[in-house]
Amino acid sequence: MATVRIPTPLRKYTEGKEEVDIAGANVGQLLDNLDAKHGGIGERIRDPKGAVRRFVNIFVGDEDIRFLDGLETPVKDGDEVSIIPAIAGGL
Amino acid sequence: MSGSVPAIRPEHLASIYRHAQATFPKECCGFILGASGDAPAQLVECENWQDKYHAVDPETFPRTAERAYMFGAKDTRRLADSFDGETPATIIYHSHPRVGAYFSEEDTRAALSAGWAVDYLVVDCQEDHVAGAVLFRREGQAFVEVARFPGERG
Repeated sequence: MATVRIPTPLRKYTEGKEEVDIAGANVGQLLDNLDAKHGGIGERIRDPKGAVRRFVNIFVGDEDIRFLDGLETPVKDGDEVSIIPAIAGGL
Repeated sequence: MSGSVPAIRPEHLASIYRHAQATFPKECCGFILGASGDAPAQLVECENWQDKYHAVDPETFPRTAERAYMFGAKDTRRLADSFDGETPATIIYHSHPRVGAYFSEEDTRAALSAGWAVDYLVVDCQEDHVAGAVLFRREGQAFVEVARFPGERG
């Protein structure tokens, strides 16, 4: 099980919980299981093709999965995974 | 975000302007943690990671740091965690090099998607000076000006 940290904008999907424990061998599986347990949160995280939305960051520990192996990034028991809306903008 | 417009301490505004000039022609970014009790508001200057995201995935992130900003992991987590503490973030700031202080369509898309309960300060940074800054607040699906700050020559 990994601990998934849920930021305030997404807690309406987790009954207000700051953290939930979710199983998954990699980030993609973890997100599947997270959405199965907390319906609706998956659409906020991934687009209809399954890709992580542009304005969502997923961190395993302190590293964004975009700098690792994306959705194939392995997740070990005890890992902390954070799903956080990006703080971004542009012209 | 509702309620009164948060004040920005003059020294924080001066630091934000210095940050914008130091990073020109790239966008700067950061945030302000609100005051609580005896603890004063705190300014957090962040590194703009946009070029790193552009380098790893230029299709998803076509803009470079001259036209966009994005917090890195450490700062993103610090801001997110602030909403579980006693001094949550109140303002996220970034600069617009050369083009003026307006809340762009990309700024709006990102802020609506994120849903952070903050106001957004946009700094008008020109080549040789900061021309001012504008504070924006969400109203429905738009962001409207709620305060305007003079520039260095203001």
